[in-house]
Amino acid sequence: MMQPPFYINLIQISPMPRRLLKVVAVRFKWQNLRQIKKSGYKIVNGQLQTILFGPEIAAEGIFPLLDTLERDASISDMLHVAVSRQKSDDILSASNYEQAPNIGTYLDRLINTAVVNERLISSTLHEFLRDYFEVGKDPMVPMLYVDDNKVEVNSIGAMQDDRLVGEFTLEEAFYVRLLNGTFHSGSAEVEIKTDLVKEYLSEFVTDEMYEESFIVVIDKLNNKMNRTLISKDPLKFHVELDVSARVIEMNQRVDLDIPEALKIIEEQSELHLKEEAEKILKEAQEMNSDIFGFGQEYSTHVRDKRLTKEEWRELYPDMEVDITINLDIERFGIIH
Amino acid sequence: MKTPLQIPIDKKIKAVYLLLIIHTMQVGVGIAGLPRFIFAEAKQDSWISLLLAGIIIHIVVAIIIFVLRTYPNTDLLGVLSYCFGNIFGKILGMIFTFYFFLVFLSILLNYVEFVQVFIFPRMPSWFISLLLISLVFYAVYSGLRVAVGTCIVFYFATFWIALLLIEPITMIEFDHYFPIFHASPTEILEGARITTYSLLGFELLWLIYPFIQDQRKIGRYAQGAVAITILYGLYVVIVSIGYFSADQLEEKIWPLLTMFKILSLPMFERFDILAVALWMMVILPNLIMFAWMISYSCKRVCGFKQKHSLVAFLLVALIISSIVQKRENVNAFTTFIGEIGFGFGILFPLLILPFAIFHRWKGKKQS
Amino acid sequence: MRRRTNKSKGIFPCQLTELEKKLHEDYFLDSPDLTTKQIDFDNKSCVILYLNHMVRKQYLYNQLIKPIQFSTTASYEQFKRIVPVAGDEALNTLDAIGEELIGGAACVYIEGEDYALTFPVPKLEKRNPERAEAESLIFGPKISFTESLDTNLNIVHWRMDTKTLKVEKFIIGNTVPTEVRLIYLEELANEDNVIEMRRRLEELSVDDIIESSTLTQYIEDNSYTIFPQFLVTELPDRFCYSLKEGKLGLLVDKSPTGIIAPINFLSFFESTEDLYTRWSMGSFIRVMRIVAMFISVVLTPLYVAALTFHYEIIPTALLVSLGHSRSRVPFPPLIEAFVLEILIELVREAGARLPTKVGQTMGIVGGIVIGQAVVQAGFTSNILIIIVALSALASYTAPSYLMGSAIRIIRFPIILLAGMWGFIGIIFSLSFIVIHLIKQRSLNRPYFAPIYPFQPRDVDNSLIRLPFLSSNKRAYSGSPKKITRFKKPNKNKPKDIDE
Repeated sequence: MMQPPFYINLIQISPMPRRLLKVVAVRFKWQNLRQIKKSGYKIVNGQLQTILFGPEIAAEGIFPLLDTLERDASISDMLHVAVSRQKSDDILSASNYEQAPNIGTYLDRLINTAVVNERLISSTLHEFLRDYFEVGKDPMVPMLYVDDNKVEVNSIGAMQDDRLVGEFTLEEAFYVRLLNGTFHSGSAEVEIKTDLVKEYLSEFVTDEMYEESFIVVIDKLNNKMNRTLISKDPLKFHVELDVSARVIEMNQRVDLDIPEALKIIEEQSELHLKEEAEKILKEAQEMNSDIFGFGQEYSTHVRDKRLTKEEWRELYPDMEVDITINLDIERFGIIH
Repeated sequence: MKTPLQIPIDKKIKAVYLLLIIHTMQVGVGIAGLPRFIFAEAKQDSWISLLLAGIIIHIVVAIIIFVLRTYPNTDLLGVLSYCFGNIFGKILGMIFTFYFFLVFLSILLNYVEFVQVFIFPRMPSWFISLLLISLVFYAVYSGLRVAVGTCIVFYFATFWIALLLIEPITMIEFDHYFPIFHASPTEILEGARITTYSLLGFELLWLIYPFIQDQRKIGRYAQGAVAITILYGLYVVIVSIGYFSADQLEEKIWPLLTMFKILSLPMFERFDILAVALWMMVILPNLIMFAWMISYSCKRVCGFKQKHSLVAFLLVALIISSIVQKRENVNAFTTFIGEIGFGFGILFPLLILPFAIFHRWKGKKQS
Repeated sequence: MRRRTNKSKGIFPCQLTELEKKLHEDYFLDSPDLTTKQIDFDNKSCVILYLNHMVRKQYLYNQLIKPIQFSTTASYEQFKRIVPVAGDEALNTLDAIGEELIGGAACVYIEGEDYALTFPVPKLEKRNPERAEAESLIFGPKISFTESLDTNLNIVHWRMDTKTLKVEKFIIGNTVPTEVRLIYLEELANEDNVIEMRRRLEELSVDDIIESSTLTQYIEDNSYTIFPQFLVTELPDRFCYSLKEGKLGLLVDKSPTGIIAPINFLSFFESTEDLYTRWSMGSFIRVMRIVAMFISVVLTPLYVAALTFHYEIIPTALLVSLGHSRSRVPFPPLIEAFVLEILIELVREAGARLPTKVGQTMGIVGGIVIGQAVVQAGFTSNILIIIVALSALASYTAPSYLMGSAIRIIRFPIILLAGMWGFIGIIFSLSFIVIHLIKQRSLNRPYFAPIYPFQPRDVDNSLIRLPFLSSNKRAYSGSPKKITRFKKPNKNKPKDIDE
């Protein structure tokens, strides 16, 4: 049977103390994992930083492969688990890796930066396995993509247990994180019909400048999520989100100093966020991948017996969720 | 053996040291696996089991001190001969000494296991034991003062490791703690039973009692030590429950050490390796105090010189540790020690309590 | 300097020539330096004998010979009256007279008398007190002890103008008797310490104690440890400060250093300069010295352990450059580290042996030129150079030379163990050192105090330093007779902000 290619990005270090100590990124096929001893250097795996799965193997399930790593005490729990959208060969042969010493270090840096900037949700080996073992929560992974000979993170993959079942773009990822709980930064674009704020437009807006709708970019400052189980049968959750944000971009001159104008913007944004969030949630439910951890919440209310994964898989797609978003725009820049 | 012990003043130690000695005795190898053991029984309500176990240990410590105060300045062996006569007392004393030896062995084997799993898979067991045993010998050979000093200094050298759990704390999932009070009373009791034997070590009181300078304060400090241990245990258990998901926690043999795996300092990317090596300093006080207890009770029971029995039993421990190799054996042995430890540590004081009450009652009647 | 009992029989009364001959032949083994001056009176003659190089000649002529020459009668009573030199002694054995002459006395004998009279007119070669060399201070008194006990006692008395300063005299050494003074403040020094020190000094029976640092090795508690158990200092201010803390001091004749006992481990990282600077700086520097000691002990072993066994702890970015740097090194890290450590020790030793100016050049040549060349030749990695230099630097921060050397030496076995068993080796050796330190005693007092026996109240006298007015207690672990230095002044604290 043809095994799909499977790559491990591995830091390879010299034999015991002798001779050179050199760091090389090696890639090898899964079947060859045990044959890596062909190298002239002794391989130690303590510095393994990223594990990258090709799309085919990700669709089949990656737990058996991670399990062996987890059992090895020398492997760090901070290892990044990632999936590539193309063949992982392409990812590793991308030759533009900025100033990093090798592609392995570059991938680690890429994912780390994205996690620190909160464009991604961290998916280390520990976190992946924690979510995998959790009843009522599925892991997420960063998806890598090669564009113009350079690797980028361009979406996050939603898993069902250990199988990749779908993905969300980074824009959509904002809503995934919104539904997931607290985070510290992120921005969303909201389109608003100009008619609604017609009377608050700045005076010098001429008719030529008038457009049907305009775009507001809001930058999230703070959020608070409150998730409550309303009823078990039918399964219904209520999610209340308090978001405080600031406007960082707006391509129409609306006088936000007028409270009414701000109110309209807020209402429209709330509506938009809510729509988007519901859309994302629906998609995830169709994939039957509970990346938000609703099941975890549900299981804390099940007293008589422990919830099983199978039970939750059946309940999840039909779950109903009410989303209420309270947006509070706190700041809107100096020039309006 | 009934004659009160005369300990020279310069061999005595201050009662306040008990606070740290008993705490370090209780926290050693046991705490690394504690979260898993309790969790297997009581799930997210583990902390209730732990609190319950805490109460039990507090009571047991109080009983031990009560019993020791009943008889004039004596130790376990004296108490035994008061209660069961000289011959039976000696036999029981020997059994106790053997039990201490088994505990010593289980600590040693477990640490060897840590090192082999986390750092040097191929380092021979006998060699790691030899390193530890040579240090134990050096410390105990210099007397109780040095043994106690080692406990104190090593406590200060390692207590900060617990603070490093700050990183796992930031990754806690609060859903893991709910629903509260889910476990059945039997599960909680079972969890408490397992906890008590992971937190043994207060048996030291039985032997160190005559060496304490200000004996009135023993109760205060011994109970304080138990309270610190319980708080520490709670801390570790609560963090592990929040950090691991349920099934994951049950798979981890030493959740505490695994939690160090995500620590990474700017110049030190993998802290777990250092933590395991440093753990040597955490368990050395245990080994040293147990070695002292063994050699001292050998002297009391059989009249051997302390230095002879010390050398003899350390050699035996070294030989045994080089024979036992397999993980399952170590596990089974540890569980076995736990089971009998429950008897020696918890049940025995309860058993001896009526004798002490009777003795006091008799004494009152005579006067 | 009388220590031996005079076994020889009296030789008096005798002829002048007979005395001269006996001294010359029996006692001084035909020394060319024995000088005699005979003075004749009406009825009898007297002779003045002295060792040429041991007396202050000008003084001798003016104060002794001249008065006697102009004396009218020859009798000891008369001489005593007219000679202004104090300290005359009447002696009647050859040995006693010989000893006095060696000590720089002049002997006067009147023919036919039963005894001879000696007057001390010694000349002692000594240098003036100079700036401290080995323990130099930037701040504070610069004077240091000299080789002369007189001068040293003078300095101590001058610094400690208090009546409770007690000085006890001991003479140690069978062939070369040396005067040792035990100095302490009677109101402070612990009685047990004094008795123990007295006992050790009295029981000591050796040929010659040479110097104060050798004396410490004769009377210390454990000769087999690498750590010094008495503090040897050349600074009178440090010496006197310790006395004021209730410690005992020893001054040894012919030795430019004083001994302080008992002492604990942390005191070796204290300097009186910490007292002279402000308390915050003093505390910072003290803590830094202890950290430096720790760094000096573990840094190179950590490098060796990490590169031999635990690659994974090194951050990737660093690992890459380390890899490049080490790729040309043909040795395992253990050898690499040893080569460099020994190189540094060689540079240090050569610098110390050579005259100051050449020594400095040596440091530059050794440090920079060889260091560069060693890396370029692919002997060691450049990161190791940094590490070894750093730990050498750190080991020099210990104010006590002996402690600094001890720290440099214990590093070698730790490096070896780190190279063999990685972190386990390091922790093993650190544990061993800690147990060893706990075990040590200084004058029967615990050496590792105040860490064990644990004495948190001593923190302001060991690890850090607090403002003087708020740290008015002496160290508890030193167990002086009086703990309180002075009464804390009453500060009228305002009850509220603006009151």
